[in-house]
Amino acid sequence: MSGNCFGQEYFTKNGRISFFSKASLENISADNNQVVSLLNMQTGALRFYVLINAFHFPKAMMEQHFNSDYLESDKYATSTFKGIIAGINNVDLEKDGSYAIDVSGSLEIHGVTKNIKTGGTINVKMESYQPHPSLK
Amino acid sequence: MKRRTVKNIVIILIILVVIVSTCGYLLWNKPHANIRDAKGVETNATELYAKFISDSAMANAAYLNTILNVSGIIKNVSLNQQQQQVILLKTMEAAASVNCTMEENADGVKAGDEVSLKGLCIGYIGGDAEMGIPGDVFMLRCYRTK
Repeated sequence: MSGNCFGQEYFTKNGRISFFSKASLENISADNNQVVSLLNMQTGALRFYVLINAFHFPKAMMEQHFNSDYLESDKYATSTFKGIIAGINNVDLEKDGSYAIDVSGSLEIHGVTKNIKTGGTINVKMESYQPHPSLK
Repeated sequence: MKRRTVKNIVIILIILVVIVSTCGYLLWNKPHANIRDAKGVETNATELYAKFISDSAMANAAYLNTILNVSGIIKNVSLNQQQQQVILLKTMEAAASVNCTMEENADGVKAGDEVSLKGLCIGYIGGDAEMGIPGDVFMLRCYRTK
């Protein structure tokens, strides 16, 4: 999240979410570089907002199937996550490094909300830092 | 069944398989929409943003997944994590923009320049009211046209 800062609150409107799926016929991957993401370094509150149709696939047909048949982006245009990073106080923004974190919260995709808990890292480098939660 | 008839049926089946396979292959590998050569709907950043703010349903119906040619004044130029150029066009809201990710970098552009960018409009994210951050209208695969 190299972005903007208001006090302890950091945000970007061009964060990145990507996914990759290994398949027998052809691998499937997509990138979304239009993720609005917000992080409060004091409370650990983490949120992100994603436009589903912003996922860009190498192939047009994959993108079309993803939007019309699976995620129905016309009907469910956005996905959101609202959660908390545990132990955010252990992350030192003054010191470069890779900090392991745990994230828990509610993820809404395709009109369904589920509570999730996952691990990740926050990489601090120079004056920017990049959270990398991983969803399994 | 005569031997010649069987042979003809086999040939026809092979031809059908080849035609279906070729069509499937071409369909699966069809390229993305050609934005560079497409004609975009003319608008400007302030007007586009105002339409999404005032009536997002109407704006979605008019602009979603549509190629637009948006003129405006640059607020900021940066690179995203994949090193693609991101150009923010000013709107009437100081902290909100038309957020354009470039397919082809626009050389030499800077804040304050007046430009036109053609790309695919993918909609509006409403921001976060609790943190007081207004949303942006997002454009993908953009090219500079002026």
